Amino acid sequence: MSEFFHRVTSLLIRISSFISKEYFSTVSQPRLLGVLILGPFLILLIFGISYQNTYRTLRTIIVVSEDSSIEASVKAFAELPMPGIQVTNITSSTTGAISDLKRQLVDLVVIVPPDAVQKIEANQQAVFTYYHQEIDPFEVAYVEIVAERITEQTNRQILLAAVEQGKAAARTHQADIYNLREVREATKENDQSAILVTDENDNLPDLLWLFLLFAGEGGESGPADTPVSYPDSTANPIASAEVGDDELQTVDAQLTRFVEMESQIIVEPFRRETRSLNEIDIQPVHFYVPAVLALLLQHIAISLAGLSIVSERFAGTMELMRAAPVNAFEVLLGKYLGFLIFLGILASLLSALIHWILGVPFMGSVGLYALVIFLVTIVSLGIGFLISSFARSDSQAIQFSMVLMLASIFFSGFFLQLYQLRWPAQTIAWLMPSTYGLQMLQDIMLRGTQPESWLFWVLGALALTLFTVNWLRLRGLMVQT
Amino acid sequence: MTDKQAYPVDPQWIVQSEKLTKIFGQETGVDALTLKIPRGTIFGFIGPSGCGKTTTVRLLLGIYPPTSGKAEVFGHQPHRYSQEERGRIGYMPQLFMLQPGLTVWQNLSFTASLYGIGLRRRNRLIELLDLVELSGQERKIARELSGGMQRRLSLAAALVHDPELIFLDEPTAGIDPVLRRKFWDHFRDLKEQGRTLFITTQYVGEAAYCDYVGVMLDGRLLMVETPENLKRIGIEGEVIQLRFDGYLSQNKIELLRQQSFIMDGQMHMLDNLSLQLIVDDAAEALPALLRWCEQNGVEVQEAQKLEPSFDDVFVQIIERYRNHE
Repeated sequence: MSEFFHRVTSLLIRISSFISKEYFSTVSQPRLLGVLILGPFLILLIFGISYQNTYRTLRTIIVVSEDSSIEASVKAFAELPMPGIQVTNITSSTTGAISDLKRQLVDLVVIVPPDAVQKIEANQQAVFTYYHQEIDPFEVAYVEIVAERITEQTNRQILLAAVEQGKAAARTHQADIYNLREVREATKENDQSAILVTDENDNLPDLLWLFLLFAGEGGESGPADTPVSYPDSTANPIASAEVGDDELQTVDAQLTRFVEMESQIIVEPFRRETRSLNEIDIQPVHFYVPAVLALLLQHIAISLAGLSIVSERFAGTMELMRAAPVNAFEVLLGKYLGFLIFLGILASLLSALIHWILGVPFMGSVGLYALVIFLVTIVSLGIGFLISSFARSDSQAIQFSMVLMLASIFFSGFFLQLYQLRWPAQTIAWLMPSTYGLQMLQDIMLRGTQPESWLFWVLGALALTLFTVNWLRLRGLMVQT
Repeated sequence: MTDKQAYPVDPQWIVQSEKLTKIFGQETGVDALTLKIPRGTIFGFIGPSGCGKTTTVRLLLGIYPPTSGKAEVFGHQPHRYSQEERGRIGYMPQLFMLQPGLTVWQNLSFTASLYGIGLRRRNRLIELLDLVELSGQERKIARELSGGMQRRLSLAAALVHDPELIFLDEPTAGIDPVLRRKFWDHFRDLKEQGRTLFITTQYVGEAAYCDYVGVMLDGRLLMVETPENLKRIGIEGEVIQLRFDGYLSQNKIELLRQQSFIMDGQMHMLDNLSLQLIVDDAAEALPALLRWCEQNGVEVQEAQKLEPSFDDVFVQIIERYRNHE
């Protein structure tokens, strides 16, 4: 029993030697600590203070042909407030406008089609052409959105004008109906003067005819379903008294309703209103904090572990380990624990700073948060140790670490969502702990929800696999050939 | 073990090797090394730089597995040591291999933990720091120490767990003569306590402090001898130096050269009044020499047996071996 106790005690002491070594080696470098804790915090702080969630206004030239029938309309239209653009000039010179764009004097050139009216009358869409020279994909997307909104607004304005015209016509037709009803009344009373009026109304306007057809079919089928043919005077149902007074009354009521409706409602019957299930207002900096934390932890863990074994190998300290009564399992476990303690303290300090100083919300369970930090760190350490066991120098280990950092920025979902990547890149993404950390920390911190359990299991499996591989690898390194 | 090796009767061998060989690619590091080291002795290992001393140490520590041949330490093959056996061995590498980012105290403490020494280690660490004269330097970062201080720290680390068998690879390199003497005094104390020390050195003079000295060249062990025998073998006899009152005539010089107590007529004049001659045994030859001088009317002012330096002995051995090859 005492022998067993002695063995266990010795084992723990040997493991503790690496825990304290790694811990003290790291904390004895105040500059490194400053860089690791204050550096990232200050970056986040400056980002939080300086980030403006606004979009720029695009300086825009509108090109419209001088002989275009809509030049005046375009100029009037340009006076209206437009989303995302500021019209700096209206010109007829496409070349001059494009030249200004190339010289970056403006951000956008809109070419109004010279034959817009003819195209529309020929039952074709007229095309606004937007020129830009953005290279940033996000800016290109922004220009696309602005162009879409300008086109929509143009279409909306035209629709509004059409509705207003329709209302004016409807008022005229209501007057016609009123006259018609009076004629009918007079007919019943044999009033010839009123009948004469009816002759003048034989050819009813198309719009009224359309409404009459609606009314005749109970308003259930529209013009598209009902072939409309221009009535001749002999077939006019009103004139031939096929349409009853009740139907005329219905048409009149519908026209009244149409006229009384807000044109804005007719053109845009729906408007949007988005609501988040989040109980709090998430600022852009809040969104990025969990991602930065995950990336940072991964990078520091990989760098520290990446340097750990390679420096033991090349500084010769590995030789002392080979001679000492310590095996690869104890060395590796001690190193894992030493770095875990250090990174745990680092993560706690950073978490406290970002919550209390930056005001980043913390909606979920602290226990789950700690578990995610633990798993992300331990997997990152595993990757670092693996790099370290293959690297041929300190600088090579750092290079590997930097490559992984770069890969994480692109593939972890930091600024591109994973669904935007093709599957091989997604596979790479799911091999990196920061991908898991980013999603899980966002769920816990910002949504207050529990991440899906398979994420925990995969991270755990990765940690275990990497530990085993590193153990076997270190065992090989500790026995020289 | 060579035939001339003067080991005690029925010794308890702590280290044994037979035709132990280590080959690195095309290069032979150690070539068929056969060696025995008795427990409780100081074994010195001398040889020019790159001759295979450190490789031998690493083979005996189990850091390298042998290419062929075998070694046994504590009766077991080194590359299959148990943790318990490794705990009985101390090792000071040739280069500083401790943790450069840790303080002196943290390094010693780390090594103590590595060997499973519990938390009651404070007095032991203080004692070792005192021995290597690093007291007061406990908080210094190892990388900021001078080369000599780093060697002293390495020595303290090698002794921290009070090992039975201690391999010291050039422990006194870069150490001042006073501290070097102190180290050797401590090594002798350790030997008195029953420890066995395997010490490589390039200071050939330090061979005098050893019980046995192995001479290595080009990966091969040339001989293992006591320091006394090593000198005898190196010089191939003993040296007597004579100083006369007056000039010695050429006839008398030639006559003296023909005397049987002078080995192979090996005699040479240092100046007109003094000469050195090689004899098989100075204790026997010196009375005969003085008698011959008296009989031939030669006035002797001074006659003494000379102790050749180990440097000379070593150079002689190496040159002779290379010429023989």
